[in-house]
Amino acid sequence: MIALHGIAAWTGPVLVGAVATRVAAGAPDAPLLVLAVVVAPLVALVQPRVAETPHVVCAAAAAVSATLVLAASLVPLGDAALLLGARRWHGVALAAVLALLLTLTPGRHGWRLAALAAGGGALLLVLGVLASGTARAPWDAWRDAAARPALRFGEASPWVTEGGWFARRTTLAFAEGHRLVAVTPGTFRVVEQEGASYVVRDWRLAAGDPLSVRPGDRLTVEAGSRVRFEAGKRVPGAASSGAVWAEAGAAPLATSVAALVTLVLGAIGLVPPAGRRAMAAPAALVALALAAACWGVYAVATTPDVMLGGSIAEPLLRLPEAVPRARGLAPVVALGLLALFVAAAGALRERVGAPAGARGAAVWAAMLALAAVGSLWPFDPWFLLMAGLGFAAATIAAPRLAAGGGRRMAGWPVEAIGALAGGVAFVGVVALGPRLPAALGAVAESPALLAAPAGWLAVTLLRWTRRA
Amino acid sequence: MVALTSLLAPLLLLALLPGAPGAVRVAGVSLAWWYAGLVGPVLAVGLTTALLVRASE
Repeated sequence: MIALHGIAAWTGPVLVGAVATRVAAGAPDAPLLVLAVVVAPLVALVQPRVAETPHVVCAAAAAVSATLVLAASLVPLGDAALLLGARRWHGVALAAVLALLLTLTPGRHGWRLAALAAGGGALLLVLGVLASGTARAPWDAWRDAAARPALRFGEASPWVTEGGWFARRTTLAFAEGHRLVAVTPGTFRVVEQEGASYVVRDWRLAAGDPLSVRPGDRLTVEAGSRVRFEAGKRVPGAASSGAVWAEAGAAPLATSVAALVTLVLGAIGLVPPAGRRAMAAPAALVALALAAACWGVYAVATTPDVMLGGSIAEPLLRLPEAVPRARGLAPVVALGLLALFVAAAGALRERVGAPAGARGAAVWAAMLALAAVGSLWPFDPWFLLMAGLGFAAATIAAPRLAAGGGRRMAGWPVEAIGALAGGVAFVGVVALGPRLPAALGAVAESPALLAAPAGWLAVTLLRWTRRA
Repeated sequence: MVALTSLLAPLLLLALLPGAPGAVRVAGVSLAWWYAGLVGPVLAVGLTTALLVRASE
């Protein structure tokens, strides 16, 4: 497998969309995330090669991780279908069937490189049109975004004209009074602050019914709801100004470290080591990650409401419609995301399908079907991605880094026992998550923080036991 | 692998140091973004290329 094929496992639509959305939202960890998205797969490319065929436990762990990552990447494709006027399942089914047909076609593998080039090329091309259309280089756009006195709804925003759509259940905090209009019937929960106490009101609104909220109110909107806002009002949930967006502060250290552990070890688990002189792969990774980050910057500079609906596909598809010269390019972006998904599926199939031998095709088809069905629920794709990477970190990367060196215990490779230990710890933390004390919040959010050391420790202890 | 991972440390340090040095603007863009968007990726690609070339020799 050449390095470019391998990194395609990393550059799926979910990571591109998540980077753009985090940057657009001014998340405190956005700069760290952008750099980690570049560095993590590069660490994987320089990892030592593993010669032997993986044990069935390690192969099963890789299959679980890959299924979660595939599901995470199918969610934005379903969202993209909705944003382009189709149904969610249209986007998911098209992507899953295309990936299945291509990955199960025997012989030729050139399509994987072509899909990665087409997907990355489409995103870079549209980004170039955005830069040309706004007449701003990315750093100029960053300066403009940082100089905005407030992030407000524009006159032409779909959230003002026909009404925006919430991809998943969202709670919005309002800094000023708003008058919303429900576009589709639905139930809206408003938590009003009355002095030191809170009053909860549930409003059942028909299409066209207005709802007024005051400063300090919190509004919970169900997935699938459509709402219209007033032009000129501040975007709820967004930074109060460009300066606040630019100086978003810092995420808690434990949270940042937990995310880094998950990303770096997850990449080691899913991205294979590079072959000789794999120089194009690092450049391609940097180009895609920085393109996604630039997308987020242009979003804040032109349409700061693109992350309101909670869909990571929205900044990618809505931004071209807001820039005159890029209008009509949203389908190109959607096709680019589809191509990146197909390339990612090809790379993940190589990581999972090959060890499964003759039953590989059936296992792979089942994985894609499971991922497709799972992605039809309004899951947060970032949660699915971090779950997949975290599981890979605990069951594949950590035992491998402990370097069992082919040693066996009761007939089992020690890496397989480490994978079991890491997997059990991961599932245990997930199950206990809500009951863990607040001090272990970072562990509950990123179970790999505890599960990866468990997998590593199991292999290390078994290695010492064998030596003794 | 350790050298590559350590490229992430300066961003954690910028966030931890008092006075928020990561928010200091250089040519209009914050120091944290210069590092995350330019310096860090260039160093990471250079280091990876050097490691891959050395491994192939």
